[in-house]
This record gives sequence, structure tokens and C-alpha cells, in this order.
Amino acid sequence: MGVIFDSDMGSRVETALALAVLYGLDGKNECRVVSISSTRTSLLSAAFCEVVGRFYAGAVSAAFGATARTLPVGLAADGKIPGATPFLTGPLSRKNTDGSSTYLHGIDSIIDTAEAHGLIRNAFTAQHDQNAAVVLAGPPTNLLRVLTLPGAKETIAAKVKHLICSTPSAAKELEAAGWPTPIISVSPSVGSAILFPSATLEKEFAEFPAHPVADAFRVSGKDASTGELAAVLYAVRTTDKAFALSEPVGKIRQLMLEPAERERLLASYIELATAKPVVRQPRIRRPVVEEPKKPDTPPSKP
Amino acid sequence: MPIVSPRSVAKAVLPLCAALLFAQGPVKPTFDHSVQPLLTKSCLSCHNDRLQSGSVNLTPFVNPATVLGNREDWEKVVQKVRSGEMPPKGLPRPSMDQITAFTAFIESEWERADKNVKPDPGRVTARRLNRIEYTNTIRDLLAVDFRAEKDFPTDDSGYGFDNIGDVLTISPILMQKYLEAAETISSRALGADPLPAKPVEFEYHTKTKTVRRLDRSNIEATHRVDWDGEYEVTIGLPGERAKDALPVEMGFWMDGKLLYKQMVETKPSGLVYFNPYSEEHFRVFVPEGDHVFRVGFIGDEFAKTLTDREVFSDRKTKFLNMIKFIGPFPAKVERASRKRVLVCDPNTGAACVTKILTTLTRRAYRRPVTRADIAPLEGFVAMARKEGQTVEQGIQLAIQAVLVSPHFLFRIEKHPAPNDPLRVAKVSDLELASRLAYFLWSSMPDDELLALAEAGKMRAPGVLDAQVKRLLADSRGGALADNFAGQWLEIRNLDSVKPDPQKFPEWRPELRDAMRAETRLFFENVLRENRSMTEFINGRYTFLNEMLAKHYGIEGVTGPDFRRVELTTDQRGGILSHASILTVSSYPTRTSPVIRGKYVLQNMLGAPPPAPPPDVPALDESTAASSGSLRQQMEKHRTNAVCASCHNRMDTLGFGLENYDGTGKWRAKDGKFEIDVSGTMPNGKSFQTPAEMRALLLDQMPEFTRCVTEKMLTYSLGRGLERFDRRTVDGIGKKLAANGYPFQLLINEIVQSLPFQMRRGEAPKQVAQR
Amino acid sequence: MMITRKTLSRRTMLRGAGTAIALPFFDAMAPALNASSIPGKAPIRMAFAYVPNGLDMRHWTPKEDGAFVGDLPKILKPMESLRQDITILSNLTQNNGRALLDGAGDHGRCCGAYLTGVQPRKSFVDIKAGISCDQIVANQIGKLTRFPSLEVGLEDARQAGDCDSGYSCAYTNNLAWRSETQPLPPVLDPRAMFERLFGKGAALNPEERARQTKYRRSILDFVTGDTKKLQGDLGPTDRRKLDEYLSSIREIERQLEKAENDNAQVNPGMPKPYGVPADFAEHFRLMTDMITVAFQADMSRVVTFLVTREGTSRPYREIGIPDGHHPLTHHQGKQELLDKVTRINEYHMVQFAKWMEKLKSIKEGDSNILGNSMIVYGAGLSDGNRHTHENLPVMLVGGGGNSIKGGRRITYRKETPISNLYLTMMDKMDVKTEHFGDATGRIDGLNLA
Repeated sequence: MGVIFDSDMGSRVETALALAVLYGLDGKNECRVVSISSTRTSLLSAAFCEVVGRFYAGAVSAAFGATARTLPVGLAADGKIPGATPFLTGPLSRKNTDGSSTYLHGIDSIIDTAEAHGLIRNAFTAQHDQNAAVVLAGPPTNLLRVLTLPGAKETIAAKVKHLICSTPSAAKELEAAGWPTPIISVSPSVGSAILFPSATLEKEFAEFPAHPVADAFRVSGKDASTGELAAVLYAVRTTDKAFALSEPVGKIRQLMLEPAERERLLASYIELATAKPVVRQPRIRRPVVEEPKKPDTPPSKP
Repeated sequence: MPIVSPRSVAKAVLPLCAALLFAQGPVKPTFDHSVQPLLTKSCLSCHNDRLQSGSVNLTPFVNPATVLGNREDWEKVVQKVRSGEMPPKGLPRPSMDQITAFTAFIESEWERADKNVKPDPGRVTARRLNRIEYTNTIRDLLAVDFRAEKDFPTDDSGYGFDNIGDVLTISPILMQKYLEAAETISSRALGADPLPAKPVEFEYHTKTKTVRRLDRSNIEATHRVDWDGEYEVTIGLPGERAKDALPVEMGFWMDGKLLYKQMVETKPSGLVYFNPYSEEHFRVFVPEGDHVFRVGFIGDEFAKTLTDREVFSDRKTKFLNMIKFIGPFPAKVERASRKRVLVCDPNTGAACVTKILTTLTRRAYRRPVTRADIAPLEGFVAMARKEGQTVEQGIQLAIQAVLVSPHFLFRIEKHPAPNDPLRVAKVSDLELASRLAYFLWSSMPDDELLALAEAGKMRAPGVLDAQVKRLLADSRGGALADNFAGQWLEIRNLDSVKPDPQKFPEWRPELRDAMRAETRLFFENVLRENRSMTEFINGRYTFLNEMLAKHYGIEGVTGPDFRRVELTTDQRGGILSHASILTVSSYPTRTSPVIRGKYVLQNMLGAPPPAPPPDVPALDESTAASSGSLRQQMEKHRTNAVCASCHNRMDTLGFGLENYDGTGKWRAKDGKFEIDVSGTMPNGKSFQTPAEMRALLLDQMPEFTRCVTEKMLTYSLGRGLERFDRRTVDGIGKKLAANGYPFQLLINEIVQSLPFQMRRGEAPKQVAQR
Repeated sequence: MMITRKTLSRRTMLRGAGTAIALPFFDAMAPALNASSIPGKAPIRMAFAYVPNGLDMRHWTPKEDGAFVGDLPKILKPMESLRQDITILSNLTQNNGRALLDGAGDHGRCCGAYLTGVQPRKSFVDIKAGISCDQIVANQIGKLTRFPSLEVGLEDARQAGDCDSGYSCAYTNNLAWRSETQPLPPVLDPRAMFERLFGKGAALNPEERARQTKYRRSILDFVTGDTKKLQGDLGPTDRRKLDEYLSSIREIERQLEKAENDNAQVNPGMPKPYGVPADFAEHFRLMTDMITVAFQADMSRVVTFLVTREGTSRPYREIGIPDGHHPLTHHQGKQELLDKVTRINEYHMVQFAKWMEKLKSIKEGDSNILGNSMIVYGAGLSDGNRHTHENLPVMLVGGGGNSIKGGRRITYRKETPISNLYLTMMDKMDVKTEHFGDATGRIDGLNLA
């Protein structure tokens, strides 16, 4: 499953945590992060995304002389959501004892980023059919623009299984613009039902000498709501019993929680958000094996 | 006993008990019994959900339904298990019995399934003539020597051949070329182009370095001839031989074909010369085009007695140094093409014109013609007359029209229900005649074939076999060597390889031509003599001339002519020791075990290695450095498991050929490093020398036969093979094995096969979008 | 100058002599054609020159954005005299050259995608890409010139075997695609190119030429009628094959019409060349000389030039490099190999620069041909070692009719589709297209400002 993650990174700390959960899932080979973009017209927003990406990329196998090809970060250049925020400046200004920046990134100007809608479209083209999920944590500006590209709707319909929006308003706007796949909107109650404990800063996150998401989290220092985390986790683990869906209204279904599963869900959030970067060989593809339809012979399991 | 789940043990044991109880003879094999244990034990330990080694996960295949449902995947599994490639070296290997039971069960399942499938002959797309077919067809239709390969854009190829209907497209440029070629050819056929008022002179001389010396007794020059016509040829012969020297026979060849010969006196003339010199003159007819002319003394024993310093001394010997052409002159005898076209005198009236057009068009369209075909052509004659031109010029115009007609340019096969994919029908006798002629001759059917087809006798008992025999015996049968073998064995790439003259100083165009000739002659010998196909792998003879024999270090072959040579040492044998193949599978500066390994897998065993994973450049062997032999370097490289799984297989075969350098010369060392050719085949058998490797390859005759059959069937049909063709291929393979692999049997079987004899319709479809 | 058989024969002898003959091209042309004399507003020409196997990007990209400062990078050096006429565009990307689930075969794919902006289908036979941008232009403005477009190349197409990991050779042999399934093969032989441009019948008198045209027309009518009758009885694929044939016939008919209306014989200004010269530089020069004449006489405004095939293993002994180009580009970072790649890149650029200088030397109004052209020089891969499809080497030469300001490097945002450049170029050719390939819009910054 390839996941496209678009957000206004920097507005809320939970966006950073959601991204950490996403990379945690990637590290477990449950999905691949195939595109990261931001609607916030701020180089720091893109820089933070790249920092997180580099943090998780680790050392990619140097076989074949290949080096890590960190994907460029997509960035909206329309200036609708301008400016840096403390969640961004906090981690990015962190220095080592020798005065150098703790977190390196390559984003010094707008040309170091990609046009968000083109990047997202390209990410779709590289996915197997019905094997991509889109997570939107923020306003739908970039995704709306993707829809205006010729042929994009067809591509999305073919490649994307579902879109998960962290806010109902974004879901409605995209539905109105003709987004062709099922849309799931995270119910507002989900975020506040479980809070991501700031205590992790002293515990799980403390094991890392430096962790950009932890540093962003430290800026607020308060427990964080988890609606966007739920969006990410559901995008990949659709069958997790912690989640339930409402009946659709139009194309949109609401994502809700099973109260009994809250504790386990929180444990999953913490485990994934604080997972260690996984060094792995690039490119492992699952062969597409279709189960032949033959109702009279039940498949034998070893 | 391996650790398996209790359930599967029970399943495996139960039928056995039942068999014992009821004593019903052999157990009926089942998936659970024959396949699952091996799959679980030998495959799933790596190819499981978690590890997915090599991106392969076989867990879903532990399901009998997949044997038919995912047949293509299973074919790969069976192929790897059978060849011994899997499980890989180092892991426990299942017993031979287990493997046999495994493959036998799966194949019997397939066979059972196939029995219920209606035979499908497939469908061949209308094919336009490719460049070679065009050239040959013009030659046979009009006796005009026109070289389309020098004039038309390259034909794209598919499935390794350039006669595949689906890829032979027509672009405006090609159309323009067809139009121009039709003008040129029709004019040449009737000799309509006025020759220049004064003949032109061309001289090629050793002094100006415009002739090449092939050896002591032969020189060669490339010459463009602009007009069909007769040319006065002058040969310069400096020097004189001893008084008692015998006259020697001098030959004159064009593109390897002997055009003329005569005796030449070599002893002193008695006249006083400061520099003894004589000339010989003769006249020959030469067609328009670029040609290679060679002139030389045939069987020149005298030249062999000379020392290196004496060979071009005009005091010691007579030799050749100049070829001069003066021409063109109008031909004295009527040219063959005119005779071919003008079957009567067109000036006698309309009846004759009709006769001329009918005769020609029937052959050009490869079928009987109707009034509707001829009437518009008569219109062209009338049109030219109206323009004030002669009847002959009118016929020329009509020929032009015929040569761009779709009936001539395309081989279109009719079908009673072209839009019904289920309707299978025989191709007509006429279409069959064309299929046969273009398969074996790369040219149009001749009169005998056409007459048989018109009479509806192509399928009479014995006729096809007799025709195959006749076509192969004809000189045009060589087309199969040029076009089929040239592409199958990639010999055509000899034209584009450019070995580095620093590393391979002996590389010359003549050597390249000799390499090409060797493989061609070898192929033709196996074909015409109906030899066993095993000779491709391990034939104990080959065809050499002096230059190539020297290249191989074989003594006793002199002169530029090729002859059969029995191989007495183990250095050479079969086509894998042909310099042609060894050269096209090398880099310009050195050998490449990877390319050679891939070559053997792809072209001999029909098991091309999969493409390297995405974004990874093909494992490059890097230039052989001083830090170790190429082999050592590559083996180090192959410690990467991802690469190793394929490269182990490829490189073993490639290293087995390391005794041959980048141009196929034998060597014991590569630079300062000893060569180690030893290797172990996927099936566990090992070899120490190239000869031993060849012997082991003989074990794989079924794979080799299958590979050649598939390629030749592709070539003969002009389409890629489909799943339904496998029955045809399997059937031919069995028959060949049972008869000792005679090569002509393969051709007979193909000609008699379902896809060659029949075709089906095609559903009107939207071309599937990817 | 009239080409006669006599002069041909002389050349034959010279060729036989094995000497490379430098034809004094521009001297021979003087004084008839040292200036272009097309009436009215000068047309804008568009050309694409493609070099294979990526480039050594370290020696391609100027350090600074904006106006060039100091020396140009090594590979661009030969363009020094034209530094104000060139624009280096950075960060343009061809996403459709990437694997996108289709596995290996970057060489086959990147060339098939280069001008089409779509991902070519991975197949030996069932080839499919998209209509290339030059052909979109040719379809719209091609009727104004005798040849809607010219396709030129220097390397013979590979004939046997598979071209790249399952991609048909059609993808690496061709740049221009007339339709999704019909690539246009480049002309390789200078002689064939000459005959195509100036006609085999360069020696025919007007009366003979008129008769030839008339005959050709009736023949084309005849075969068109025959083909249509034939098509009725055929299945869909066979019918499509014959459609291809018919559409080629229509194109020839159009050319005939064009030639008829355009009676002025173009003076080639050079003797008819003979065959393919062994010397690469000579071959390059002959072909580009002819393109120059075609531009000058407004015989065509659209050219694709496949310098050598993508994935080619051609060695360059001319400059002392005996190793194949493609193996060299898998240099694994070895300096010695890298240097050779750079030298090949430079060698190509030297030839290209000579052509550009020639275009600049021909006056046209108060500008010159180069000033009225847009010529893109580039490759479908940036790093040939790793097969990367982003930040492609792209150099735009010429003023596009006094509308492009050169002398600088423009860096776009990452992943900007190269199709955006094509769309912008089409605008400048007055060819209005809403959309092309994977374009997401036009590119800024090219305009004079």
C-alpha cells in the first residue's frame, strides 16, 4: 500500500505525530510513504517534512552504489496558509554542542521543493491499482488542484482505494469537487477521545538522542489529540477492530472508534510513533497473486 | 521425516493406506501428496509472507486451484525446480523422485486441462514485406537486383525477428521510398533509363589504397555501380614468374559470387620491361548498386612457395594490384528482366499488353488475377500513351502501380469470418504457398508452387513434404540461414560490433565476413544435410577459410574459399565456439561472461534471465583491473544475494566460454591471469573445460529443441507465440526427440502444424488500455 | 548547382579512395544562399537534439542561477561563443521515464517518453507511446512547409535481439511519434536525406517533373481505391494495418500537392553526399548542414535529431575512447570512466556548437536563423549510472523569434515536468494546445525580461 500524505504541517503537533506513525508503519513494511506535501507556504514546513523523512530513511543499503533518493517535498506556493510556527522553528533551530544544526535538510529555497499537485499525481502513477491511500491532514488546497490536472480523476479512480480526511469540511469540499474514490472523514470526537501522552517525551522518545517529532512535541509539551493519527492508521490498517465506519452520506463515511479498543489503539500509536528507523534494502515488491475463484475447493492451508 | 503439520501427514499417508488396503496398484498422485510437501519444505522456508526472497512469495500457491489458475507462475516454479536452480546451492535438495513426482503431477494437471481446450491456431496480422523480402521478391519477380536494405528505413523487430506483422509499420517516409523504388525498379526492369553518352572510368589501385589485399593472391574493392549494364573490367598484373611457372586461373567475384574466370599467363613475356606488367580485360554485366568485387588467382600454388619478402616483388612473381571499370555499355544480350516482363511484343496490340500485365500481376500478387485487377493497369498504359509515351513506357507505369499496390506489399490472408474469434479455418492453398515461400525463401512463391496452389493441390498427400525438400534444396533456401539464423543467433549484430583495434589488432572487415560465413555455412549444412540438431551444440566440424583458420590456430587451410574442416582438438565444437557468436556477445574491449551467459540462456536454452530489478543498472563487470582476474572480481560482486540468484546461472555459462577472447580467439590466460572456466550447472553437474560444458549442454537437448522450435515457429508465422501454441511446440519437441533431432523434421513439422495451416478470426476490440 | 551523374561518379571514386572529403559547404553556397530570403515575417523553428545515456551532470550545470558568471562548465564550453544564446533549464523531470511498476528498462522507457510525455508500453511488438510534441506542432503548422517535420539520426538502428529489458527497439530507435503506435524513423544516410529534401529528380526538367507528379497521383489514387476495397473483408487488426498504409499515402499526396504549388527548386548548395561517412563529425556535419538548408529555405520548421540511440554502446575511437558509451556510463563513480563519459559529452557538444554557429551565421531579416529558432539539446536521463529521470540536462538554444532571453541558468522547482517546457514551446510556435503529456502548466522565466 502506498500512502500519500498531505498536510498543513506546522499548525498542530498531532500532524507531526501522525507523520511519525506513518513512517512507523512504513518501517514495519505495512505501507510505503510515496509522497509528502504541505499546503503551508513556508519553507520551514517543507524542511520539517524533509527532516522527518531523512530521520526515518536511515542508511539505505549502499549496494549497487545506490544512495537514498529522498523524494522532494511538495509545497503549495499560493501563500494561502503562510508563515512558520513554533512547532517548526523549535526542532529546526536545534543546534548541536558545536553550533551546527542537529537536523539537516536541503531546503533553502522554493526550488528545492516540488509543486505539490504534480508530485502527488506522479506518486499515483507509480502505484498498483487500488493500492494507494491518501491521507489529508489539513485544508484540501493541494488535492483540489490535483483534480484539475487532465486525466487525474481517472488515475485516482484506478489507483486510490480511499481518501481519509482529518476534517469533515475538507471531505465535503473534495466530494463536491468530484473526488472519485470513497472518502472517509475522521469524526471530530475521535481526536479528543484518545490523547497522545506528553509523558512519552520522558519515556519512549527519551531513548533517541535527537528526534525531530519529539522536539516538535516538546514545544507544546501538552498531551496531543490524535484524530490525524487515526486517519493514518486507518488508511493502512483498515481491518483494525478499533475502527468503525458510519453509513455513507453521499460518498463520505465517518470514522469512529470502538470504545473498548481505545487502550490498545493508544498503545499502537505510541509504539508506531516512537518506532526506530528501519534500515532496509530498497525495493521489495509483493508479487500480485490472485486467488483463483473456485468455490468448490476450499483453499488448503499448511 | 521433515517437520510438517500433522494434517498434511495424514493427508499424505491416507491415500497410501487406502492403496495398500485395496491393492489397487499405483497411487493416483494428488496435490497434497506430490506437490505440497516439497513446496512447503523446500520453497516456503524462504518464499514466505515474511521473507519473500527475490520478491517471490509462494504461500498462496499451497492451493491446488492455483496449478491451473496461476499457470504462468507455476511454470516458472516448475522450470526452476526441474533445472535444479531451486532450491539454491547450499540448501537441502529434494530427492530426484520427489522432483519427478512434483513436476509430473503439475504437468499432468495441465495436460488434462489442455485436453478440454479447443485448439487455437492464432491469428497473424497482415504483413508487409520487410526489406529483405522486398529485395528477394523483386529479384524473383523481375530479375532486378535492388537492395532495399540500403534504401528503406530499418524494419523494427519484435520477438527477436524483423518479420513480425504487428510491428512492421508503414510511415510516410517508407511510402515515399516505395514510390521511388517502384519508379527505379520498373525503369530498370525494362532498361528504360538512358545510359550516359560516354562511359565513365573508375580505378581502384593498391597505390591509392583503394583496394584491399586479402592475401597473396586476392584483392578486393567496393564499388558503387550507378547503371545496370555491361562494364569493361581491367585487372592490373605487375611482375612475372619464373620461366617454368604454369598459367594460373584468375577469378572475378561480385559480392562473393563468381562472375567470370580465365587463365592468365605468368611467365616472362620476352619483352624488355623495366617493371614487368600486364593487364587482362573482360566484359561483364553488373547490376546497379553497391558491390564488393574481388579478383584473385584460384589455387595459386606458386604464391605459397614465396617468402614474405618476395610476394609482391615484380621480379619474383606476378600478383594483382588494380581493378578498373569502364562503362556502362549497353548489354549485348537482352537483359533477363526484359525477358521476364515482355512475354510477347507489346507493340502487336492490346491483347499482348493484357497478357503481359496478367502474367506479371499474377506473380506479383501471388494469386490468380481477375479482370478487375487488370483493367486499371491497362488504364495506366493508356494514360502514358495519351501523354505521348510508348506502350513500353505505359507498361513501365503499370508495373510502378503494381509495386505499390497493397496486394504486392502486404501478405494479406482472407478469412471467412474475420470478426469471429472462434471460427477456425484453413488458410487457402495460395496463402499456404506464400507462407511456405516466405518462410523458407524470404521471397515469393515460384511458378511451381503457384501452379500447385492454383490447382488446389498443396494439401494433397506428400506434396508439402516434397515442396519443403525442393525449396530447401534451391539456392534461395539460404535465406533461412541469413534471416532466421542471422537473427536467432544475433549474427546480424556483427555489422554493428566494433572491437577495439588496440586490443584486437587482427579485427578486419574480412575477418568479420569470414565469421559470418562460418556460422552461415554451418547452419546451412545442418539444414541441407538434415543433420541432427545436436550438432549445433557439439558438432565436430566447421567451415573455415585461411583467415579464420589462422584466427583459430588451425593449420592446413589456405586461400579465401571456405571448406569443411573436421575438428581434431577439443578447443572448438558446435556453434558456441564460433567466433561470430563469441564476438557479438562481447564488449568492444573485452569479453563479458554476463552477456555470454545471457546469450546461452536466451538463445540456446530458451530461459532468458529476468530483467534486473528496477532502477538497478545491469551488473557491470567494470573494466578488468589489476586487482584480480575478472572472475575473482565478479565473484566478489556476486556476494550480493539479490544479484547472485540470476548471475550464478548466467555467469557459470559465460565463464565456461572464457577461453575465447572478445573476438573468439582461443586463449589460456586473460592478461596475466589464469583463466578458470570450471563451473557447475544448475543441475549439479560440473565441468572443467568448454568442451565438457558443451557435453553437459547435450543433456539439455529438450530445452534447446524447445527454444529453437519456438523461435522458428515465431519466424515462420510472423507473430509472437501464445499460450495455445505450446501444444504445437510440445508436440514437435516430442517428435524430434523420438527421431534423433533431424533438423528438416522440425521444418516439416512446423509446416504441417496447426498454426501454420489454419487461422482464426478476431473479435472487433478496443485495443486494451494498460 | 545542378547535380549530374558525372559529379556523382567523381565522388564515387573519391569515396573509393577512402579519404574523408570535407565538402566546402558554405563556400559552395555562396553567394546564392548566405542569407535566408523567406518573404514575410520570419518563421520560428523548433528542433530537438537528443543524446543518449545521460550526461555527466557535474560538468553540465553552471554553479549559479541566473546570468552566467565566468567560464561555462566543461561540457558547455564548446558553446562559449554562443553563451548569450543558450539557456540552461534545471530540475525538469520526465516522470514517465521512471519504472512506475514496469521494472527495468530505463533506457527504452526514457527515450520513448522523452517527447511524448507518456509512459511507453512495455512490449516487443504491441508498441504504444503517445503522439510527440514535435508532431503536434507538425500536424498544425506542417501544411505551411513542404515537410511537416524532419527526423534525422546518426546511428543505424539495432536489428537483432531485444533493445532494453523488454522494450521494443522502436522506443530507442525513434524520437518522433506520429501517433500512439507509429514512430517516425530518423533518416540516417546523408544521401537518403538529400534525396528526400531535394528529390531524386533534382535533374528532371519541369515537364518531366509535372508528368512524374501526375503519374504518382494516379498511382496513389489507384492503390487507395484498391485498399479500401480490400479492407472490407478483414479483421480489426488487419484493417488497422491498412489504415496506417492509407494515412501514409495521404501524407505523400499532400507532399506532392505542396511540391506542385511550390515550383521553385531549392538549391541544395552542396553536392549530393554518398553513403554514411565513417567519421562521426563528418556525418554530424552533413546531416546538420541539410537541416540548415531546410530551415533556411523554409522546407520544414520542425526537426527531431537523435544524435545516437539511447543505450548505445558506440565507442568513440575518433577521440581515443575504445569503450562503448553505455558501459562507460555505468562508471560506478570511477574517475577514469567518468572522464571518458565527459569527453564523449564534450565531443557531441563540439559538433552541436558548430551547427548552432552555422545557424547563427545565416542572416534573416535583422536577426538570424538561430534567433528565430528554439532548439533543445538534452537527454532522457540525467545520471546514466543510476538511471535518474529528474533534473534532466536541458539546454535551450536560440531566441525563439526574439522572445527568449539567453545567457543564464533557470532552475525550476523539483519534479517540474519537462512537458511544461514543451507546452511553453508550442505556445511560441503559435500552436495552441490545452494540454500535453503529463504537463501541469507552462514554465515561467523564459521570456525576455
